[in-house]
Amino acid sequence: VIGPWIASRLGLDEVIDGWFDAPVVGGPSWARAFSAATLFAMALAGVTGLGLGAVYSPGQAGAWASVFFSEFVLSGGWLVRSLHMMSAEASIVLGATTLLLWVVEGRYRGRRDLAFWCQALVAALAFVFCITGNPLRWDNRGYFGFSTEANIAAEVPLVGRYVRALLVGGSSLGNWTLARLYSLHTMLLPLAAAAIVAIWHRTGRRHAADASVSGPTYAESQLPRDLLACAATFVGILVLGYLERAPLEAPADPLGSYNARPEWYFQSLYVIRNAVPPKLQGLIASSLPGVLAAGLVALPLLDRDPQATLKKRAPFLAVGLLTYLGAVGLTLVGVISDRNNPDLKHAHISQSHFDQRAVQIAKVNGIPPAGALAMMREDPVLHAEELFHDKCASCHKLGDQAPADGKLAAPRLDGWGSEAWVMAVLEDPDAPDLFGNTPYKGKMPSYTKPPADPQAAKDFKPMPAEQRQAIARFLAGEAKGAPKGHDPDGEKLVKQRCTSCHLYQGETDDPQNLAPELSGWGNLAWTRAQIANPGTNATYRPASLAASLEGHMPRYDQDMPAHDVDLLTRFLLHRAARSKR
Amino acid sequence: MASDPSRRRALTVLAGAGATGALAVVAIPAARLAAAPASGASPGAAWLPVLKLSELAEGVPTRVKVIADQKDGYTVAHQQPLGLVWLLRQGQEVRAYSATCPHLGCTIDLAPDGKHYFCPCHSSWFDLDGKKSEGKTNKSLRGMDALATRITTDKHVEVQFQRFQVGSETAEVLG
Repeated sequence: VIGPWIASRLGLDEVIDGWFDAPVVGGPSWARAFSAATLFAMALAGVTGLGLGAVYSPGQAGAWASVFFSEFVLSGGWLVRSLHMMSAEASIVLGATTLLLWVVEGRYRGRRDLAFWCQALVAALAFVFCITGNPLRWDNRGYFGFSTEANIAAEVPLVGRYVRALLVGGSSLGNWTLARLYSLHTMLLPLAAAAIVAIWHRTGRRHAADASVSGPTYAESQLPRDLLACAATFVGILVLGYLERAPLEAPADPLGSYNARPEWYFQSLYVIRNAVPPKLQGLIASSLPGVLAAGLVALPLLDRDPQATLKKRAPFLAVGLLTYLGAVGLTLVGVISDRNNPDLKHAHISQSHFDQRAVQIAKVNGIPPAGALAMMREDPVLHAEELFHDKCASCHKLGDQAPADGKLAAPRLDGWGSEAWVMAVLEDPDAPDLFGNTPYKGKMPSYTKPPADPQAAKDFKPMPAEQRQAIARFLAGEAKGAPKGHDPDGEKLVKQRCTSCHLYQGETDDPQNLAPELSGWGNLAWTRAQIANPGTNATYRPASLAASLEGHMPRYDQDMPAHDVDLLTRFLLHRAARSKR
Repeated sequence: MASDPSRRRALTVLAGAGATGALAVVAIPAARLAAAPASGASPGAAWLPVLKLSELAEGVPTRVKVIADQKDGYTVAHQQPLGLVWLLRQGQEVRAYSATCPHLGCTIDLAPDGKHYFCPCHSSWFDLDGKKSEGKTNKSLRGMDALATRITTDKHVEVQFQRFQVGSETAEVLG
């Protein structure tokens, strides 16, 4: 019932018969099958895009959050995303390869010039779809990639800056950028693609309708090739899309240090740009795509004789082949050199910490309405890491946070508060990763090694190991916040052996000494006091802040809000307890 | 009637011109709307406090965040980090350089040697005074962008934060 009804209303049978029975202009070819595969890949991207577009929210607050939702929350969302990405990238490869095949066959001669230009436009559109689609997820990779691409576009003389301003929607990337990219990606570009395909289709119909054209029909000659090419593309996209998930790095942080790399389809341009002197970069950015476009426009006008032999067409073939192989070769060079770049590996490792943390917080806490970047900035762990990096890591080391030049100007804090740490101080307090590079160097003697002065060395007796152990056990207990009287033997030893310099419960034999308070050493209150102000007798003495003690531990209670001092203290104790001296 | 060629041509012209004209009438304001964000006038750069002079060690490059209200298209976020600035103290003077690389806009770090600035994206080296380092790779056409600084009476460092067009030989302020 349905079939005849559709036939009577739409006449689809006649349309299909019209296609199938039309003669194939110039005979069947694989170049044409590649065109079909390109359009098929773009159609797959379109269908998956419809699904993604139904979830996506273009705006700084919602972009990453909504993509995260597709990727990690909605069932099967990750597969739709990776198929979308894989189809889009496949259409670049297929589009470029199709162009090469068309050039080899000279499929632009005669009345096929317009069809060739349509094919070239489709290949260009495949690029623009990827350029506009990548930043939509608003993670660091998408954001910084697009930021760099827009800045390169701005290098084009005369119009570049306006192009950038129009694309970005102002001077810096933000809400307007996303609105523009989204409307381009989901409305303007698909409309343009549809218009190009309509024109292309029309040229084919017009050509085939010509009485002078004869040959095997589409159904019996070209259709099997088209089906095979599309089926292979489909299987390839399914397999690769299943194996390779679409990226979603940490939410874009314009202030983060991100080592932006070009996507693979820009690697060839990147390699060329890097090889030329800086002054020529602007010229390269504007002229290379321009030359390529001009070449594609000019080809049908230059190489037009339908009877020309291969030998006669050799120059055109050579240019086409060299351009294609050159692009493929440079892409490989760029991708491989990035893969083997140790700096990049290092940057990738430190970046993936944020990527994983972002997904973790989003899964556990959820993303606030203020957006994913706000979520990251409010995360206590990341904030504490940043505080440690900014305030502590220029002198101290803890875990993988350390001074940039690797030279410690203060103790290494791994395992701080542990028995092992105290044992190390008793053995060699002036070790370079303890107090050896601080103004306190030489202030505390070793309890195992004789002093340098030969006179004093004569009278030196090392402290027995069990006594050192007992002191270390007692102080580690203090650091853990053990209750009063937790270790009377250790406490007795500290009172006997340490208070000639150190404070213990506010008492000392030497009020002029700077040695710190040992009661509660390393516990939460002690550590907090030390970060807030080391010169209150709660830890060190007021004189420890004297300007003459160059490189001393500064106080932070005047620069940091109290809650930051708290956070930093807890972070430090947490990380120190989970690391080994 | 329909076969009268002149009437047919007149109708075609009328329909074509009418449709084009009507579309243009609505397309012009639509295009102006689309182009609106690109023609924003640049606000004058304000003096923004970044830290206390006492927090800056002599001769040690320090990267600070510039915090102010951030307008982003249709939203305003209060007290947000707008950008990063490298500060270098020399006595009672502080020099400031934008941490945005003048080449293509990546974020400039301190090199591991602590004596240069370094942009990892395209391996560009700068001296601590912002100039391109001699004898090292640098893809930028100009040195780092200097920003005006001043010290307030209560010894706070303030920076006149601006963004610049990247990739060019001369620094042009962006809106």
